[in-house]
Amino acid sequence: MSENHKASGEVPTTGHLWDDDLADFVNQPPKWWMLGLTASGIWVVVYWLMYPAVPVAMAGTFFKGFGLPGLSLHLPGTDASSDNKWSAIKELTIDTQELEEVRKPFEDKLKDMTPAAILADANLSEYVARSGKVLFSDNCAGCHGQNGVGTFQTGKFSQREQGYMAPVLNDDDWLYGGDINAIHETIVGGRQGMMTPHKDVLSEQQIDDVAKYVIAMSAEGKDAADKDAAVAAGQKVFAESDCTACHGADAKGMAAMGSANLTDKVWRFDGSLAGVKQTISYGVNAGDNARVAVMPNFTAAGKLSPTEIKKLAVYVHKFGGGVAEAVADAVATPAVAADAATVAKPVDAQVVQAPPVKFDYVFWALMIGTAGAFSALLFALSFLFKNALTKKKGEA
Amino acid sequence: MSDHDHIYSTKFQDKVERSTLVMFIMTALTVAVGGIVEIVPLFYLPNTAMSGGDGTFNGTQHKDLQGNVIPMDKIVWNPATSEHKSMDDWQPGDGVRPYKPLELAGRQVFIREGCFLCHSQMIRPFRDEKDRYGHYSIAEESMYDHTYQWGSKRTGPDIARLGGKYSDEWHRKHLKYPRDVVPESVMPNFFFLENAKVDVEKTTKTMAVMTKMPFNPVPKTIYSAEYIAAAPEALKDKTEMDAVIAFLQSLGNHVKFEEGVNYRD
Amino acid sequence: MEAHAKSVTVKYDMDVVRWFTIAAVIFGVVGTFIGVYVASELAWPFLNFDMAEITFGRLRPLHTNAVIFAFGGNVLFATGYYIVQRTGATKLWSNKLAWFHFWGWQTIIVCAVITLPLGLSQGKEYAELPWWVDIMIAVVWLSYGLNYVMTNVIRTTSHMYVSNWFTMGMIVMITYLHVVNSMAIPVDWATSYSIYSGVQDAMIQWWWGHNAVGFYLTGGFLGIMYYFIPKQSGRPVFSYRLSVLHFWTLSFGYVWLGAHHLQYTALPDWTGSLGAAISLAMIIPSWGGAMNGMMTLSGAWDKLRTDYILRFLVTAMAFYAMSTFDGPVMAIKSVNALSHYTDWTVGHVHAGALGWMSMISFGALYHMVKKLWNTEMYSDRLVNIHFWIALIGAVTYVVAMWVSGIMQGLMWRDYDEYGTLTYTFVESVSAMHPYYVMRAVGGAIFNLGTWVMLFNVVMTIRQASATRATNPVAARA
Ligand code: HEC
Ligand code: HEC
Ligand code: HEC
Ligand code: HEM
Ligand code: HEM
Ligand SMILES: [Ca+2]
Ligand SMILES: [Ca+2]
Ligand SMILES: [Cu+2]
Repeated sequence: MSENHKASGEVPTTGHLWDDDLADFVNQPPKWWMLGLTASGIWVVVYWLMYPAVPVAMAGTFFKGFGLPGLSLHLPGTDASSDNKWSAIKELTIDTQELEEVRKPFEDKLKDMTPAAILADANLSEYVARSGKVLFSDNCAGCHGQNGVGTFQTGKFSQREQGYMAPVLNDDDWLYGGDINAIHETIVGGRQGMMTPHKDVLSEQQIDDVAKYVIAMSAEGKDAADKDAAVAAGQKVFAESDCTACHGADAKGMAAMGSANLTDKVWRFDGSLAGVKQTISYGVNAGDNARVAVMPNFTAAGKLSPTEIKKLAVYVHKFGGGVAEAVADAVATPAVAADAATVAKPVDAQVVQAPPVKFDYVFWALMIGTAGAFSALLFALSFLFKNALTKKKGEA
Repeated sequence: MSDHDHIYSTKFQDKVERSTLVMFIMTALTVAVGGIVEIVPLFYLPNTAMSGGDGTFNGTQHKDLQGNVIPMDKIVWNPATSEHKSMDDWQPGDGVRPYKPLELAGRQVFIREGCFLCHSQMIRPFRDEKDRYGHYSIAEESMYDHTYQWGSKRTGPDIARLGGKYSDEWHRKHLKYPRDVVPESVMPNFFFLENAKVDVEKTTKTMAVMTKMPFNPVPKTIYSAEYIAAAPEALKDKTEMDAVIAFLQSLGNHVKFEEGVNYRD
Repeated sequence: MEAHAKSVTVKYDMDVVRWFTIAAVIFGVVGTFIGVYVASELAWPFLNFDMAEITFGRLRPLHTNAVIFAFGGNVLFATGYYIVQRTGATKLWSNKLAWFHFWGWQTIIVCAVITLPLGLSQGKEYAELPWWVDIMIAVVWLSYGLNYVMTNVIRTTSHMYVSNWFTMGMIVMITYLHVVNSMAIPVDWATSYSIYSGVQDAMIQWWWGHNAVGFYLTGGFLGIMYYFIPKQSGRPVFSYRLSVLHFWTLSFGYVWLGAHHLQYTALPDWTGSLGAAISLAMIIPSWGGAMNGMMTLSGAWDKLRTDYILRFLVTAMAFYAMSTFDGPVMAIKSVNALSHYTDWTVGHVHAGALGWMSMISFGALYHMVKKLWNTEMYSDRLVNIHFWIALIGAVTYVVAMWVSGIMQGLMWRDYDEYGTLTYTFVESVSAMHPYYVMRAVGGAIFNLGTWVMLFNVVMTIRQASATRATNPVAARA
């Protein structure tokens, strides 16, 4: 032991010794530390007086804080009665009011307006576009994808499930029509398109043929497909079976029943041969093995208020696929609607990148995070190299 | 050596350091205090949703905006006073009820798969959580949750009010392959839940155990012998996937919250 | 000076310590490796490989249990038995019981490695292990406690050394925590449910959770610090009075902190306030410990230039000071409102776990390996390399998580000028990706360091056995 212990001069050790050379100096704790300790004790008491902290069942006090008069924390702008003492819920009330004030002018207007009118009002529709984003992401994106890009299931665990779970909403191909009112109606009441299964009506060969024909129509348009000798058998099946009843003689779908346009390149489910055969064989919403296509009724579920539904309709319309009002009247006639649909935009991006995070938040996150970590690192290094680089003191 | 018997702290401290027994007792006392102060009152003070299992509570009560006491059977379902008398008749809004057999089985799967490590079930009273997830959670809502599942990390979103948000079909697809429906998701694929049947025996035993809990047991009037006996029927041929989905769909819509009422005071 | 006289003649029971030491080095590699894998699953979810046993939800508990109980536990027991014998100048009260402890603990670890991937979980963080393993833990822990207390009783030194105060506190507290928090009714061998529910269960869980941190990952490791820093630097502890004050304030105060994990939850407001107030006050006691460790080097700072083991020990104190600043800040109500549920917590955890608890362990283990095998390290350079690798890895990890955590918290609560939420939840998920990658990289770097250590320790032991064979005198440590 010894030299070490005397090295720092006058301070003795306690005189106890363990394991040959373990000892402890009788140094006083630093002054700042003792002060800190006292201050901490005071701090604890003051904090407990300010915030609710006393777990004792004294009438009216134990959640509201022990509350020495004048010390317990009160809500800003209120008198010092015990009802106004701080609580987490009261904090919420105040924070929420702040928001309500910003929203109120907009919300008040939205209440009595039609979706079309909202869409026409630039200021309001901007508000709606903003508030629709999280609403859509939380309620709709699960099926329609973020920003309505659709959710394509890879069918990894079941071939049957390969395909889009719900229609893509950011293109201009619409099952039920793309004007603001049709969209609004869909969200208000939900949709459940129905296609009958054909496995018992058509032979396997016929299903194969008609599937190839449908694919050909999508690839080259109906006219080209009709002239295609290779799919002539399919064309015959299509014309003679009940397909035209729902998809129309021109195969461009009918908005009234939500049947798909079969002549564009946009696939509601899945455009592979197996996928198309699957749809034709088992149908849609028609029992065993059928494709399931249920757009929930958000009004009935009570999940969304009428205003929120209006917001969503406008929001969806603004994805870019919404049909302009001028065309809206014509939408009822499939022919015109379909014209719009043949120029459907292809959907390629599956993963939408999150919009760049607002600069100031990245900035602050980076600043605080890195500053914290680097001060830690510096802290560590400064101890490592303090005096180590300069001449040591004390010891010989 | 001269310093050896000099005491640099206090006599008592010196005694503590000399005697293993005294040190043991002193540490045992010191470290007991905080826990006792924070934990014990939760078992008897009001507003901690401690029920007697028979419709009575430890004085827990909430007041509406006029200051009138909201009867506890509006918050916690009590078949004796509710117009819906059985678990099957129960409607969202009737008040907190225990889990149905399939939900209970699903809850076991939820715990087994460690879902709580990514999903919280505790909405805090903040405006953003209100906008994102819904009304803040209250103590009664987890009173039947033996092994509470509030979680401490939101790698995924809070699911305290998930019930009814998506269709069963959606959940099935999402759980099987989350990136099919949410490309950005980092959630593992749980398709294997579809390959296993629920453990019927474990679930009925669990129901029996829940009625025997010393604190907040499920009332025997709800998990009655007949109800437990009927459970295997409800669980027949159900997969673990069905069970988890049933559990998820049961979350968060039990209590009908009034706007503006402070449900935590 | 009776202690001095005796210690040279006492023959210690060091075999069990050697085994605990080796186990600790191995589980350091294993535990952090699983950590890296778990981190990678969040960065690249395909790594879940559609195998139930290795999905994130099952592997994460394996990581936490492996690092806390397998790595941390073996370090604590190795150092605990080492310190208590040497500072008490006595053999163990029962060498047999210590071996029971060793094998019992390794059995528990094996049970954890089997049951956690199988999904046997009680659903409480760090207390996932099934009920019958809980019973095994209780039995083994008590065997440790008994042996440890009795060894103190039969010590030949007059006073208990400060390390032993901390270890004693840990043993008592963990006993309380484990018994109370594990109360459950089994349904079958695999499954059991807590007898508490909701609010009460939450409070008890975090009383356990925080104090597993406070007494096990902190108290126990402070005991390590108090032995190895003075030993390695050859300097007496800076201040005896500081030891006394910070020991008692820490022991008393830490217990209250569990409630800071539950602020703004459905618990009554008073619980959060109790926890928050004392959490902030805990900076001072914690820094008391950090300072007592660091100031012990005053007059010996130059040793850091050459003594790489000391570097580990001192850096650990810096990280300890830092994470016990970070923690109290996070306990403030308004900060916790932001940080809770985010990666900030994970950053804080690993500042403590990688920077403090692992670093102090590495330092202590290197010191012990030299003493236990009575040799020099196979390569001092590798010790230094390990030091820098560990430091870089830890800082990378912690920076990544702080940034991502704060960003996550800010994104979740951000409102635009129209009073509507700015970001969707999934936007926050995809914004985390770069940081998850960075964390995985930082973790991998840190893990690499543990391999370096394993190699160095193995080579050291081999070298020692070789010399021991030719030089029997050196055989006893
Ligand atoms: C459970 C999945 C699911 C959810 C959630 C969902 N949808 Fe749908 N949605 C569908 C399906 C399936 C269809 C197609 C229905 C059909 O084919 O009859 C559809 C159709 C639509 C259509 C009509 C598309 C067209 O081409 O005409 C619109 C518009 C729409 N959804 C908007 C929404 C909005 C807005 C929300 C959120 C409030 C939402 N959806 C939520 C599944 C969903
Ligand atoms: C009872 C009405 C009905 C009949 C009959 C019907 N369909 Fe359909 N079909 C629909 C509806 C509605 C949809 C869109 C379903 C949806 O999106 O929810 C659809 C969708 C399709 C699709 C999927 C298109 C895509 O983009 O993925 C194909 C292919 C198809 N039908 C082919 C046929 C063929 C071939 C026949 C005749 C053998 C036929 N359908 C008969 C109503 C019908
Ligand atoms: C690795 C972390 C992780 C695990 C483990 C995990 N999830 Fe998720 N979960 C996520 C993420 C991230 C999201 C958000 C993206 C998405 O919707 O997939 C999510 C979303 C969800 C959602 C949609 C919630 C909503 O409101 O949109 C549900 C339901 C869900 N998870 C259930 C579960 C269940 C049940 C388990 C366990 C069997 C589980 N999760 C395990 C990370 C995880
Ligand atoms: C290579 C080093 C390590 C890596 C890469 C790593 C990685 C991780 C990851 C990815 C998580 C999950 C975080 C989440 O859910 O988002 C985690 C959790 C955790 N790890 Fe580690 N870890 C490492 C080392 C350690 C060590 C040495 C300890 C020692 C105690 C530790 C203790 C913990 C704890 C306690 C948690 C749970 C945190 C919480 O619940 O908030 N880790 N770790
Ligand atoms: C005075 C010291 C400390 C205080 C006041 C403190 C405080 C906190 C707080 C406020 C949280 C976040 C709780 C939440 O929001 O969920 C937390 C989490 C955590 N801390 Fe600390 N901390 C301290 C020291 C430490 C140290 C030194 C370690 C590590 C060795 C540590 C390990 C942890 C762990 C593992 C968690 C995660 C708990 C979970 O799973 O959610 N803490 N701590
Ligand atoms: Ca479309
Ligand atoms: Ca956690
Ligand atoms: Cu804590």
